[in-house]
Amino acid sequence: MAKKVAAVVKLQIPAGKATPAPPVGTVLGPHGINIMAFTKEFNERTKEQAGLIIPVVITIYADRSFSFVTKTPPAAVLLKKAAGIETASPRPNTQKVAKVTREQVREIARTKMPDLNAASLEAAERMVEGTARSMGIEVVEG
Amino acid sequence: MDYIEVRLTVPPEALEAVANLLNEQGSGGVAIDDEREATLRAYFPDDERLEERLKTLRGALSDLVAFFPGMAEWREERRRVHEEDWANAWRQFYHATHVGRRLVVVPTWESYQPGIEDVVIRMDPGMAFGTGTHPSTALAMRWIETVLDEGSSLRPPRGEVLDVGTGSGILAIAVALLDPGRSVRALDIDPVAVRVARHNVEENRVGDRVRVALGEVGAEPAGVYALVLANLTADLLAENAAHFARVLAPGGLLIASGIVDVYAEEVRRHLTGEGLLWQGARSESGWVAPLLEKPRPGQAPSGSQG
Repeated sequence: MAKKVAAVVKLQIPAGKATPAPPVGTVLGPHGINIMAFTKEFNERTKEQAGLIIPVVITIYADRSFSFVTKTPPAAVLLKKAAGIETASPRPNTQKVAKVTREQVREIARTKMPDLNAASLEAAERMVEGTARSMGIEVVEG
Repeated sequence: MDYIEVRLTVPPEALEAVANLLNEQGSGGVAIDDEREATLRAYFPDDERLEERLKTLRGALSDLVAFFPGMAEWREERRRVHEEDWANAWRQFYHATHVGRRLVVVPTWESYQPGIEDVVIRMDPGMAFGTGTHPSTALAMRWIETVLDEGSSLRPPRGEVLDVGTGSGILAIAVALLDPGRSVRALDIDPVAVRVARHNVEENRVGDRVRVALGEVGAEPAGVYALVLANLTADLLAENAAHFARVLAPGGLLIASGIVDVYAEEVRRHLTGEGLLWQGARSESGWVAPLLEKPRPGQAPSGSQG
């Protein structure tokens, strides 16, 4: 029989480097999850992606055990990687900090498709492009 | 330390950009409560940099209106969260747990009437790893019970035990309680774990047999230990394979744990590559814990290869 689900929690945290500090501790602690057990397991299972922030969906069961699935990194994280920048523009409206090509946007959209509520690859590209512009990253043809 | 929780409600299309802003301001991650309404929670230390961080954040959020018109109505709520409220919240769900045939882990704050065969470990894991409820700890504890059993065909020789990465001290304490004739040296590189382990050693009244120290296996003397416990990670087990083989006495046993099943073969290759004999492995919920033996001089490599 399937275990009874008590809660589902969504986080974006550093792969391979999660700590018991917030948001992990503040979000999981009140659900009765042993925070150290979660961070050990999460870090071990995501060490190959260390350095990236990744989304994780944690299912907490009535007996306080848990399972989790990780998702593709956020578009913002993939865009910064593609553009070779550490941080987005503090003033994206006026201050552009990097460029990515349309092909890079398409590649990110392809990567993100399984986790986006996008009807088509073109719609996913538009979402990624919108995020890029809001970070001060220009999208150029190429 | 206290934290300030910043809860932002933003249009769904701006979620990724806002999450990125929160991370760049040092939140160390975000919680997403509902993607339809896109409510994000981030936590910042309540220190002298807080107001500056929040000012920068608000400026950047206001700029997002140009890209996401719905951002014109973003909302912010703040509240203070106290560390003790969340750090210990899980305790109310942590109760006495039978881990092996005899070992029972009981939280220090709970009363427990032991059965005649029970060996009770009293634990306050604090912020260190090792409550006995995680499969990697439970698997190691069951191996300890097996090899220290009087009738075991794989009983370690006489001699001291080394617990590498002791965490809460639970494995070292299990050895000391199951085999009072043995002394245990318990190491951890984390000062918090050392403090927690020492507290638990005292709580279980095994301070005369378990010594906890800050340190790692590489600095230990060669050929000394009858049993080595290593509930670590696949990477650390592979990296330290030569050290484990070196510190074990001939005929000594290594209980390795903390291995996600996909890395088990890699760990096996490293440990057997150092001449240790694979005597079997147990698994639970995707975690694997093998038992290995250091051969005695002239001993044929009789370890199970399967």
